[in-house]
Amino acid sequence: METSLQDSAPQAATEPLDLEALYHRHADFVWRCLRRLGVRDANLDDAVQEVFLVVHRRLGDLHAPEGVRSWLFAIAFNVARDHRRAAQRKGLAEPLPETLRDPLPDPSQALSQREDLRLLDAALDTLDDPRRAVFVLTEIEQLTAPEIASALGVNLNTVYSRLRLARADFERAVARLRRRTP
Amino acid sequence: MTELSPDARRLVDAARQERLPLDARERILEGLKTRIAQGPPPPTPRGPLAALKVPLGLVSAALVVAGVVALRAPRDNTHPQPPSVHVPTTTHMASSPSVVALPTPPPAPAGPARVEAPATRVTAPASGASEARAPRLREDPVGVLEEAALLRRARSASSGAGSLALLDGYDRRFPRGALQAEAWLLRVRVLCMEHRPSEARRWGQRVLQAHPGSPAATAVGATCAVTP
Repeated sequence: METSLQDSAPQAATEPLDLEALYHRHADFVWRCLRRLGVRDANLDDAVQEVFLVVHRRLGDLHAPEGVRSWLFAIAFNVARDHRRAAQRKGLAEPLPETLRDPLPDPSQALSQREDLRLLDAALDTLDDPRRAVFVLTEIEQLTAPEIASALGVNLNTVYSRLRLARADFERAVARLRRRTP
Repeated sequence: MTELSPDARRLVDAARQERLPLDARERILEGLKTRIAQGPPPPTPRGPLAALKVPLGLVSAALVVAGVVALRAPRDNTHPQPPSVHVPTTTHMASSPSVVALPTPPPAPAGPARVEAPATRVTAPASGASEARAPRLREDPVGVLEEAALLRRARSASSGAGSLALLDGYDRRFPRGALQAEAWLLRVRVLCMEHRPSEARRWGQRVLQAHPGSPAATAVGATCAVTP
């Protein structure tokens, strides 16, 4: 596990502190984080916008460009949490029907990938927020442990501890969901 | 530490390949530019900031009681300008030195209460900081309820910017508001949520200086204005 944390690609040494440049560079990262943190498809566009609106307002606070992904994730984490709460209040926590999602070019590949992602999201939904955040950042976004510690405001040991527990939770959830799938 | 199983690894690998669709990328960017040009959105009745734990409900309830008491209190016709009454904004505000220093009516008396003008008169201090220590019930209790309503809107705004805009409006409209400490505490918490710790610290200092010993000052200690 430490391998995946420590061998992650280092952040670019210098990044432009311009909103549009930040958007083009990190929109995929923010979008994936929001998605994996439980923001549903119908709300993703708005959520991405909200993250970058905060970025726009707080750009002057970003004094360490090498920590931009940690900073972005911290913002995305709060935005995702708010969206989930709003969805729960409105009774919209269920995902959209699969038929509403964008199809991929190859139908069989599309089906397989959609199933994988649906299973992934269902398993992630079983994790609590702190473990989910560490799992997403480590396994999907491949941030380093110090970056994750910075993003979440916790120490390194907590990151490793949460990751260990998150992996175990995730494996159990995947196995349970696989058993339910015909 | 245990690695993921191949099955689980395949799932996360699939997620790693996902990209924001190009059409959505452009659409979001255009929307972002539009929203920036338009400024902060109007507040909604309920929003993410509602999670902030400034006890406005309790404040409002206490103010309603206080307002009713003030309305029911007999007016002294010899005073064209009724005396300002220094009251705790909530029951727990009684611990504030600025309140303890003055005789105040109980927050929720069982019957009609008479307000003794000489004992409750507050001389307006000259300095800004001292002014801030003198929250007072206005002649019109509805004004205090308006303060509470405005703060409630700020707390339930749909965005931090919206909340801060409402709080700016509160400060302009109620520069010596009875709920100033709560308003500033709310601002500190919003600034923390907005990842603006330096500003949060500055406002936290204002709370500590203007309302020392108040519940708001105590609560500031649990925010990013004091703790990293």
